[in-house]
Amino acid sequence: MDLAQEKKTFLNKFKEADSQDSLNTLKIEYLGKKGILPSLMSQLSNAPAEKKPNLGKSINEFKSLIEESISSSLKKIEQSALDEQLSKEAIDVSLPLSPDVGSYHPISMIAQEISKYFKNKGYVLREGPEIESEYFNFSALNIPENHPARDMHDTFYFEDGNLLRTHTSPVQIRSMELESPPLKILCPGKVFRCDSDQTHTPMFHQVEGLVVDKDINFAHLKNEILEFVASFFKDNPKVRFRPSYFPFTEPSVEVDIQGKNGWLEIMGCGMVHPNVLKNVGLNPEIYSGFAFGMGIERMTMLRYQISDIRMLFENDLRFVTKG
Amino acid sequence: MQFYKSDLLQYISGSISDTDLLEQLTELGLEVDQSKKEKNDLLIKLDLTPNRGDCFSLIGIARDVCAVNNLKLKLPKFKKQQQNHDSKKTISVDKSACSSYIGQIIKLKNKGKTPQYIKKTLKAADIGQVNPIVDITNYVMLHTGQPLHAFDNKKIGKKIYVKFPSKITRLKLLDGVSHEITKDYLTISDEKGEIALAGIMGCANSEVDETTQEIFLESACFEPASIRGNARKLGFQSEASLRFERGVDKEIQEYAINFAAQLYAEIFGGNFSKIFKQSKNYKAKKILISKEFIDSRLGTEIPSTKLIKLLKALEFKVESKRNYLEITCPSHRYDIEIREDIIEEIARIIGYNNLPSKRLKLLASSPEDTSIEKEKFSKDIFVNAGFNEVINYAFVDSSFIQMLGLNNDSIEIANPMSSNQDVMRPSLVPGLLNNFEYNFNRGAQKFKIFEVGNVFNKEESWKSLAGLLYFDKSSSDWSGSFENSFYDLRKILDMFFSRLNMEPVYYKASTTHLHPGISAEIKMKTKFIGNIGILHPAIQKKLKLPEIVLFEINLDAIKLPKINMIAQPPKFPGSERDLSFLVSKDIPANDFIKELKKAGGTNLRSVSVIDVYQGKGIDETLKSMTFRLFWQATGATLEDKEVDQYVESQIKRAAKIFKAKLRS
Repeated sequence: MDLAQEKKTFLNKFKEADSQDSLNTLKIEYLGKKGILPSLMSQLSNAPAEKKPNLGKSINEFKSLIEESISSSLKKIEQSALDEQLSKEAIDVSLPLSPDVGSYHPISMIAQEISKYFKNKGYVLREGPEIESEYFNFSALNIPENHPARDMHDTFYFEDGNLLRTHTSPVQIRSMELESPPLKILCPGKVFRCDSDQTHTPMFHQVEGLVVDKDINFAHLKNEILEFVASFFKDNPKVRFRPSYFPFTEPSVEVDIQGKNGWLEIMGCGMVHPNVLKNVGLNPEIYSGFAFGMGIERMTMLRYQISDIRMLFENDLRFVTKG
Repeated sequence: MQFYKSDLLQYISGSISDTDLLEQLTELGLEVDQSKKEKNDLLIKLDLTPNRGDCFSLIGIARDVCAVNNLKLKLPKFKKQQQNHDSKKTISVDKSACSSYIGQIIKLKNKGKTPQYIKKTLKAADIGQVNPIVDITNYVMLHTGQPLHAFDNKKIGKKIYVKFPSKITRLKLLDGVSHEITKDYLTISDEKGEIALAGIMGCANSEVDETTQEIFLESACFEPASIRGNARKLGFQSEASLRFERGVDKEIQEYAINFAAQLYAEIFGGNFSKIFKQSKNYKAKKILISKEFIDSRLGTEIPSTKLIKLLKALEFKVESKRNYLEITCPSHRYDIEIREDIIEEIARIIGYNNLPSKRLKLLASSPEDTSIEKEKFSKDIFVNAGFNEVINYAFVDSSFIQMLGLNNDSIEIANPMSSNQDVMRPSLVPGLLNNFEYNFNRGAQKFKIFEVGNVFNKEESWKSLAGLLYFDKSSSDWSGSFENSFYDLRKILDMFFSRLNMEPVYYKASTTHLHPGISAEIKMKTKFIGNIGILHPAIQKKLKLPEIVLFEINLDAIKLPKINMIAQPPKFPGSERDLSFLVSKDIPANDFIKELKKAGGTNLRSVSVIDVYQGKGIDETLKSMTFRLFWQATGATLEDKEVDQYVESQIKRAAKIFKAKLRS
């Protein structure tokens, strides 16, 4: 047995094996059951006893050499095959795509923002019907028939005497009839008035807040509005409160903020009129409250600097999909 | 109300800068709508609220300005003109409608000319010059707020009646138009008939002109309730009705007539009759209010002395009683009725902006309206699925509704803005189609739009959710990922319903505006909750639209999901089988699946359709459907034998119910 010669022969064969297959064949030739190495091992038993330890050691070293060289070579080949596959599979990651990007209508965005603000302050959202009776829209709110205040509301009517609500205030009445104080509600919704120009559309959205409990006062109202304005208008504009008139509040207030070119009206509010409380069976000696209401379109126009309200209802997808 | 600052200053003892005046007026609640500098003067236009009828006069505005500046009001006194003829007039008044009626016959000596200062005041107020007689009445009205009317005394009788007519008549008014006058119009009549519509406009039959030599000047206080709404019904508003509707000072009639009489004396020279008068006794309103009540409503403490001073500045009389103040309202503040009105006056003069603000600590809680939650939930899902929200008007064109064949049950608006907004929408589909058309014509090629809103019929209204899907294939990009078939839209609905833990069923049905073969009704059990389909080809053609897919769901008919338990996934391996059936092509897959489930035992976890085939090699009345069925038990590995039994009973059931044959 010439181990050195065997080693030399193996190394020559190994040099030539350049594929997975030839390496596997080589592996079987040497390490397989009937391979060269087992036969070397069997020759070992015939060797003289004093030579056995050294010879054994050499055979084992030879075995390790075979195993390691073949397996490392196999690994290399696998790696390069994988590298080749990966480089073939590479794509242009920069190709432009056109995802379907959903959007809220700008009016919804603002309505949601306002609702969320007041929800966090403990207001509960309430809805009411868009087709209302004369009672809920006017009488219960202390607006008697023929009152000049009705001139402020150009109303759409139906044959049966019902009407399209001109404000979200009927929801106040409905809520107060159903629930007892303390009450803290917010009513967003669509309202309707026969009017159309740059600042008016026959349908628009309002959000109305109402707080009723014992000892609710004007100072509370002022603070609630001031905090809201500071949160909604990021540049913290100056706020002006001025007397106004709504039949359902007394005192009544109009709120302005300082804009670049003067004061901008943003909402109406006031202390709930005692007649309104009486109409829903609340005793104005015990309870008081405040209410505020604003046009969502107006807030949307101020936020996004839109000059013509009608744009909000044209639903031009180049415009309304920015939300 | 429009006026010059110089006219206002006649009544104010003190000076005030333009900027201060404008700011103060608005902060007093007399909102300055516009102001314009004009030759040493300032033209001011106020946008007055309906409660402040008293400020439809220079004196009224001056009162507020004086009160807030702590200045004295300069009110000129007018003496009664000396009586120098004894012409007679008897006056009879319906005192429920007219609390005071004062008249005077004035014989005009010379021809008069309207002086420059009167012209200027009228011009500021945008009141046209008529003739000197009428110009004086308007001038006095602008100063005092009291509308006056001059009749040509030669054209009217000796008796004056203020009453509601006993029958419907037609009257030609000073606007030259003949109006129908019903019994709810208060009129001024003489022995022969009506000569004026009280508080609105005179009749042509008693009109004054350049030749008039003798007038009967009327200064009356008509009750707002007897005037309100009447002018509007005639289609106009006069300076008089504007004021009477809101109310005028019950004590100012004599002051106004003396003011005017002095002007007639100056401008025309005149002989004056006595003043004829019919009036109810005026009783000033009294309001009792405590300082504590005022403080509690304003959320601050205001010293009594300050309260009293403020109210006195506004000409309220204040008497301090033991626990409260007794406040007597001046006759010109007829809008003040209750304690809260007094509080507003106090707040107004202190200045809303000078009152404190205080944090509200109230926390009230009650459950939120589920309808609002549902709307938000739905919107979020569709926006996240790539849909763009639109918002349309709630009124639509009835002819469009008819064209779509939606229904003829929609509610008509009695006074629509235009004929293409004449009914309340019975569906959101018309709006979406309009949006489609508008944007398609502007080059949009990809549509995934939706809307949530109320829809209406004669009986009820409900909240609806509708969407539209369209994609112009020719504009597809390299990825070709956007699809727009019926199934693509249905997949989104399936996702939506699955988020709601709902498993509705799609039934083929014919909805008028949808393609009869490619549309479905969506039902939960037997309850109709919506529809989905391709727009009807006939409608497409009429509107020149391409093929678009639509859906609409009644949001009121669905419920938000309850909190569900999450089941542990089974640990034991399951068994999968594929079965192909030949069946009549009219059998809906859903019906077939239902039967497979019935026969598949409790461990059948899922049934999916992996292939549907119609065409070559199969009878044309038939289709082939291949189902992949999956069984899995929770407690043990399922035996093949068991699954075989289920499959066998499924095949039998399919054969029995659908005459379905298993394909080999």
